[in-house]
Amino acid sequence: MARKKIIQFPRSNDPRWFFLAFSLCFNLYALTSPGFHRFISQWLAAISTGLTLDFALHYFLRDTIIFPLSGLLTSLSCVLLCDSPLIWPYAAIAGISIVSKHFLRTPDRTKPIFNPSDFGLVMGLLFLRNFMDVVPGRWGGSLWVMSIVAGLGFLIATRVHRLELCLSWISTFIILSILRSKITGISLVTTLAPMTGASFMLLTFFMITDPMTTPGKLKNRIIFGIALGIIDAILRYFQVINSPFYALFILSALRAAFLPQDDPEMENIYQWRGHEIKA
Amino acid sequence: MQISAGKDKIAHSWKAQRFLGVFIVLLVFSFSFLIHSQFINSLVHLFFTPSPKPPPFILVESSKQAGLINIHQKFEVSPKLKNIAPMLAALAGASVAVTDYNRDGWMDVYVTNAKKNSLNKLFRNNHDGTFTDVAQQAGVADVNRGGGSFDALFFDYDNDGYDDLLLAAYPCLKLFHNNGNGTFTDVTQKSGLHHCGNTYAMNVVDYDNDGYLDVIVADYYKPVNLLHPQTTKFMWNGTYATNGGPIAVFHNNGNGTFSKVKGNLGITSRGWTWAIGVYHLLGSAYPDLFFATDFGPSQLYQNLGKGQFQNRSELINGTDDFSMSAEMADIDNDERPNVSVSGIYEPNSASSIYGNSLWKFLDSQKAIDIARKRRIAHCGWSWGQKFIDFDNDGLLDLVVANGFISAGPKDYRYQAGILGQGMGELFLDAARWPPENDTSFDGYQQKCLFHNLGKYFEDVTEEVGLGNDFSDGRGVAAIDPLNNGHVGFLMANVGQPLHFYENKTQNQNHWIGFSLQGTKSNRDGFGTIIRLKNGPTTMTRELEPANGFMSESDPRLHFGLGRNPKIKEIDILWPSGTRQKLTEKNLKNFHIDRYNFIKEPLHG
Repeated sequence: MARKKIIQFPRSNDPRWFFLAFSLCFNLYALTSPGFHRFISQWLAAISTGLTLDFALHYFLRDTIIFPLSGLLTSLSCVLLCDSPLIWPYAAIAGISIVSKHFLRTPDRTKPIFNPSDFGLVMGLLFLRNFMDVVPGRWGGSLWVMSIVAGLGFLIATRVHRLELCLSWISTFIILSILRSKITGISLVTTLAPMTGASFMLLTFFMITDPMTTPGKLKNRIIFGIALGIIDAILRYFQVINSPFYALFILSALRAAFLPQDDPEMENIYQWRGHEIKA
Repeated sequence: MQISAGKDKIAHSWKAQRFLGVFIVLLVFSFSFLIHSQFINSLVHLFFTPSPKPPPFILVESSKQAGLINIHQKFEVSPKLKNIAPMLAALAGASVAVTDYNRDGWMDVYVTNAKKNSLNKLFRNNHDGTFTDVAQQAGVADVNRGGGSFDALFFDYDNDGYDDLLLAAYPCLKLFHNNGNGTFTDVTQKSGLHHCGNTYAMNVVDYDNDGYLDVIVADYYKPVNLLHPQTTKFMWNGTYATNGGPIAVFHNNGNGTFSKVKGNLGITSRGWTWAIGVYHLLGSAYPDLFFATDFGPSQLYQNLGKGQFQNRSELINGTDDFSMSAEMADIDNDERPNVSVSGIYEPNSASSIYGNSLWKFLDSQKAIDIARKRRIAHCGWSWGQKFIDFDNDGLLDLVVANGFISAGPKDYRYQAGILGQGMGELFLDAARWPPENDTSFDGYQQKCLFHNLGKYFEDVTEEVGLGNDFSDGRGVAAIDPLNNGHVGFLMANVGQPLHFYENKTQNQNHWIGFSLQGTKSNRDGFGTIIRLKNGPTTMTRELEPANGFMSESDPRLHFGLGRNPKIKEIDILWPSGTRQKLTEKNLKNFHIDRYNFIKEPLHG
């Protein structure tokens, strides 16, 4: 006998809607700004893959019919962060991200181990490096775009209770950049420059603000941000390009391995569960 | 009890998978390392060693044997800019120009040096495959007292039959008149060709078809004297930089003088220009212009024919943000022009993954990028390039020079890439850039030689003899030094010896070449289009020798004819509009396997 499907739809006060609005605005900028090199075909490839996979995997793995808001957000992030002249890498990265979200989960199956977009990007960087990269400096040198993104980003971080995480990560980055500048003799402007770039901003405001893959407790949030900064600094010392994404990947894995199973922060994960309607 | 059991189960599960995350990370990184290391390649080669194919053609580096010896002397900027002096020097090109300056029917070579007070070289062809430097006698050696030379271009500005020399010298352009007796005279002052700046790109085009070649130059940086800078804030201000140098158009008055054109014919440059390509791209009788620019998209200007150009860059709305050169030809003999734009393909470098573009102009309204389809998109940090039919099979092959700075074992890429990830304002100031010292920067790159197979190109770099060339290539110029139809090329390398690749191919293919002389058109015949019907194939070539990057090629048109040539028709369209159509009846005066002289008829 076929199991009954549960229909889920995000609540109207779900903060992810705000994420979505922010992400869509940024995607619109990417699609219309000539310096960003995003084409509608690439956007459609990522979005359709992400939505379809998220919907299908929910349907078949969890007997749930959902509005794949989470898949949409992940796909939109992939469009912004993946950089390729081709179309298929966008679909591939979105696909890998969604699959990781469903299959690489904590043992109790309650949450993904990795931030889906980060996992997709890292996989792309490691295995598809001849076809894609992470968006390098696609602001077009524009201060106002950076300011808007940062402003909205902090707003989002506050809304989802991840402001402390963002601030601890940024503070650690600044402190260790000063230290790295002293040790290596590289000018401080250079070591701090990535802060003004697209990659840093998107990681800070799109990835580590994800409550599903970051700690809930204040202390743990701060520790998470500091740890991310330390791993990033170590990778930067060894001149690893795109280090923040690798750092988040490594930190997520370490967290999955060493997080106590009865950590109360786990319970926070469920705060965004949607309305459940029995089919 | 049930709750407790559930907790135990979860706890057990956690224990079992405690190291799941670490395991995934280790697995992923190890697998990635294996894929990108030589290990997998070695395994593949061990079990699947392809049977060696005979090379389609053979190129031999013969600069020493030919006497074409010049170690490029690099540009030396002000000590104020010493932190990035190697980069500024590597950007200030190495150029090579091929011309028959003494009209003896054999191609000579001019090579520039960029160091202040260095000497440029003019290699006269000895007709036996060797050359002799006669620059001192000719008066074009000691021309770098102001700074250095970045580009050289020979053209007959006064239509007296002898090619004159336009030099992108520092800090101002120089024009040398060819006296016709093996010497040149500096006529910059009286010619009115006054332009000072960081000129890296220049070309000549008779944009109004009045029979005289006009000059277009473009500066890379905004006006700043790199020898004595007033400011260090002249670097690019973003990935879409808007602070590049200006362009200047000089109209040839036909009396030995030039006039600077106000408003530049409607051409509004966004600066950072590396190369200006001239070609009939959009189907009109007037040549169009293609600006290959850095830090932003290339620009296309359609020649409206009334001394006005229209920006048609929307046709090439691609992703070529780091364009270095524009080389143009009909690569597949379909009578539709192609523009090959060299760029950067540096995976995992925070630089660019977009590589080179190949625009095919389908008509005056549409162009598509087919570089990946034709398999020529990836060639590292590409600079100069040239379409040459090395094996005379009727299909143009492509040679691409690449590599930025080859120096010490450490690479500057990371520093530059990280700085480049930030806001444009941060890297605008050259003084803020991390010191380069003796680091390399995307250096030691193997050149690319793509053999045209019709539907796509095949990388034959190693097979044909370029596998060991890891120089920092810039200008590439085609040359047939022995007039035997085996076209080779010269490659000028920054801070390194000039390379001369002699074409030593032995095959049964035939060829035909044309040396042009305009009468109503400019005397060089630049801009002339020849359509040659060889059996079922129609080959189209346009004489634009200064296209490419900091180079000028053999100013003759060369057609590979294959094994069984059957020329049915030669259709010549001169810039003046004169059309010569030669059918089988009057082709008797033309000979295959040699260069044929064609003079534009006065009444056509």
